[in-house]
Amino acid sequence: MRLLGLFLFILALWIIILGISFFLTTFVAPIKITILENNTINRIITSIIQASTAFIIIIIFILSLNKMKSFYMSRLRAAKKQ
Amino acid sequence: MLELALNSLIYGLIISIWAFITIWILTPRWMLFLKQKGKVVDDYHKPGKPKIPRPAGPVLALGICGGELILFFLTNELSILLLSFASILSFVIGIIDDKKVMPGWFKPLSLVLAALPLTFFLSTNSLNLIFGSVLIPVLYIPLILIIIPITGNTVNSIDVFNGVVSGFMIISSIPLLISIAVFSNVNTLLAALPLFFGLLAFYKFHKYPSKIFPGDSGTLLIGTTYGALAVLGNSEVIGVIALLPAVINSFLFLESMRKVVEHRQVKSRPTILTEDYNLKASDDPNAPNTLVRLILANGPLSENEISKEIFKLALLSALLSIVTIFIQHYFIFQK
Repeated sequence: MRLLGLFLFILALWIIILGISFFLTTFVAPIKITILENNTINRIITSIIQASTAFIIIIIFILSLNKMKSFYMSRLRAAKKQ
Repeated sequence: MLELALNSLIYGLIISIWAFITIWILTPRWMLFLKQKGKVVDDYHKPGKPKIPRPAGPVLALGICGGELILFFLTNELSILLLSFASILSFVIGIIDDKKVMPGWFKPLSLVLAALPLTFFLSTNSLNLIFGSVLIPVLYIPLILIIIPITGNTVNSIDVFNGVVSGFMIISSIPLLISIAVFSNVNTLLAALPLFFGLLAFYKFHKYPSKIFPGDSGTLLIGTTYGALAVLGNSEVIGVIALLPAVINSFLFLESMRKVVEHRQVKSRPTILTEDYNLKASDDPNAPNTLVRLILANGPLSENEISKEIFKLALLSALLSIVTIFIQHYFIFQK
């Protein structure tokens, strides 16, 4: 089937999106930093840490997308040679 | 309560009919006008390269933005007015790009402007992330300013063959409508109807063999409206999942080009037209990777067959989006 590879590619992406969402809601969202007495500063620090973590995860997502693409392309090339 | 439901039903009918009928009736007349003015482009993938009128953006804007504005006057809901502003701005950006070939950075950067109106009205600063809702007060505005240009350009990049962008967006709009109905309010759901019904009417003229092309003014309008609706309807992640094939297409293109460039500026084409008017994947290592190139990796196909393959991918994404809506509903409302 022509689209099987692309179907799997989309399915894998969807699973990764689910994984990232699970990680963000379960581990990143509940982070609460209390270093200082000032609540506003604590909230800003917490937000910065959460945003940075989310940003790193997005970068990892893009890198994994790139890896998946390379894997998919190499499979295609191998199939073409055969 | 009953009166409210009845009013919503009437408003929904009025704007759906407006969007559908306006585009259905005016598109043939607009096509004639464009032909008379010589605003036509070659349809490269057909024998004899027939001249096709472009852009359909103004008619789409009248149907979709007009429907949104009518809804604003009926409901006085500020968010709908801002949605209309975003749609109109993206249409204006597209018209500029239709009239004059702008550099690659023009569309993404100027679409940030189109996203600005939405930041003035934020009923929420939380993001539905499937397994729960996350408060992101610091990040929400930057997120909107990123989402709108991305959806605008992503939808623009899928406008590759006859009927693809309109058919693809009809399929992608279905899970978005369901998600807005579940996670947002009636007015946002109503605001999504002109896009859906406008696209349905437009597909009649855009499907293979196309009688008119949407142009950048049409595709940017569709993409930006879709993105804005996803934001207003608390359905950002659902909206992205429904667009996954287009997202893959944009990612592949950007990753192989290593910079933001216009498709028409690409020297080596990802696909080659064969003598029998089929398309095959290019063997040139310098050609950018695209979704179509991947589809053609297993052998040549006709333009119409490629469109159908893209619709199958869109259907899978729409299905995954609907599954995601069920998961999100469970975690947000029932847990």
